[in-house]
Formats: sequence, C-alpha cells, structure tokens
Amino acid sequence: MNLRDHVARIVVAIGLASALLVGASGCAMVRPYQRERLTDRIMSFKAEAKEDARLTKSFDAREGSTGGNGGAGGGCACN
Amino acid sequence: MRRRGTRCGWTSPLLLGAALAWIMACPSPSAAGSAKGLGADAATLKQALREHTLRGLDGKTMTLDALRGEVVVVNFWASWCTPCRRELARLDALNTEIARRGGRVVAISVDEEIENARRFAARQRLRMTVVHDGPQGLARTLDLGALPFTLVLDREGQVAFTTLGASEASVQGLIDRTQQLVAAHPAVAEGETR
Repeated sequence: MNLRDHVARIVVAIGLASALLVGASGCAMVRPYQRERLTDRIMSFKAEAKEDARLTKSFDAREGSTGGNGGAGGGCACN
Repeated sequence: MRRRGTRCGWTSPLLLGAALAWIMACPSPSAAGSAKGLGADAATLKQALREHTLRGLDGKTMTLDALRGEVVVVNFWASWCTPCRRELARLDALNTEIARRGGRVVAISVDEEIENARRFAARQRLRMTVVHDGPQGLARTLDLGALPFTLVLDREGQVAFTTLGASEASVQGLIDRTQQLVAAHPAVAEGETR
C-alpha cells in the first residue's frame, strides 16, 4: 500500500468515527431551568440515595457543618 | 509466532479526531444575549415581556406588561432549587417593603408540576405574586443562564438590571438596587401627573 492510500484510509476512518460519535453521543446541554429530574435524590450514584440524604442531614446537624455537603444551617437539627 | 511491530501511527490521529468531534458535538452555552445571563436577543426579550401570559397559582392569568408603572422584580425559581428557596423568603420581605411605594415581586415557578409550586408557596406563606410557568415557558424563551435568575423592570417596563444566582452578595445587591430604583422614581399618586 502506498502512502496516498494509507493517508486516504486514515482520513476515511477519522470521518467515519467522527460521524459515528457525533450521531451516537448523548451529549446535550441541559439548561438550568430544565434540571428538575436531575436534582431528584434518586439520581444519586449511591444505592440508597434517600437514606444517604437523611444521614448527611444528620451529620451536618451533629457536626455543625454548613454547606460542606450542600446542607444549610446546622447544630440544632432544626433545618 | 512472530508478532508484528507496534504500528500506532494511524490510531493517534484517529483517536484525536474522534475526541475533537465528540467535544464539538456538545452544544455550548449560548452567547451573551440582550442582558447578563440571558440568551435571548433584545427583540425576543421585549416581545416576551410584553406578551407572555403567566398563570397564577389561583388560576388567574396576567402579563408583566400589565404591571407597567411599577418597579417589578421578576424572579425565576423552582421548588427543587435550594438557593431559590432561600432567596424567596428575602424577596417576600422585599415585596412587602416596596409594595407601598409602587413596587412588587413576581416569582415565576419553573417547576414542571404546578402543585409543587403551590405546596411550597403555601408552606412558606408567601405573600408576593407567585405564578407558575414551567420550564418550557418564559424561562426557555429568555434562555436563562442560571437559576435562580432575577430581572428587575423599571416603571417603563424596561430591564433595569439582572441578577444571577443567590449568593449573599448578589441577593443583597439585588435588594439594595431595587430599593434605590423604587426610591429614585416614586410611583405617581392617584390624580397626580408626571
């Protein structure tokens, strides 16, 4: 195979791969006002998302930590 | 068996090209529009503010254009947005304060379900004007770049300024500038001409 054929094959391969990726990628911009489903706790990667949220809230309150885990307030467990 | 030498000369550009294509396939945030944080152009903004109909939690409809003559703080929020919930309590207090001087806060919910907005407003006993418009309404038309997002309309119905997010500094800045705007151009009393 000469150099020209080799280059042509590379170009074709890149083109096909690019077209495949452009078509197959699920990449989409989710605007800030469209993120209701994404903010659901069930979307967490952890297995027990709701239980984890409860524990995090308790931890924030007990440690008096504010904002570290996205929680607000702390100390009195009243938030 | 004799193994062929490693020939990765063509795989590198292939992978590079594929990666570039993948990155370019991702849509980028829209360019700056008519105001800070808005993707919509000036004409779209003007038309939307004049014509878009909002539905109140009580079912009544209204347009922002009908409020011309007042300083209107238009806040986009959602019950699932934690910073929005914190900000709304302060905006409700601001609404009470400026209501006597020809100003008001209109909180536009972008919740998918009106019931979530209604439940939150009732629980917080919000007294300001709360309407539901959903994620496909005015928020989409204006292409908001953040949530919460606030735009303040002067008495002529023009956008005076916008605020993105709900950091302490931005909320306080919003309140201060709104109070200045209300004070700088007092409402025309009944029977009085400008």
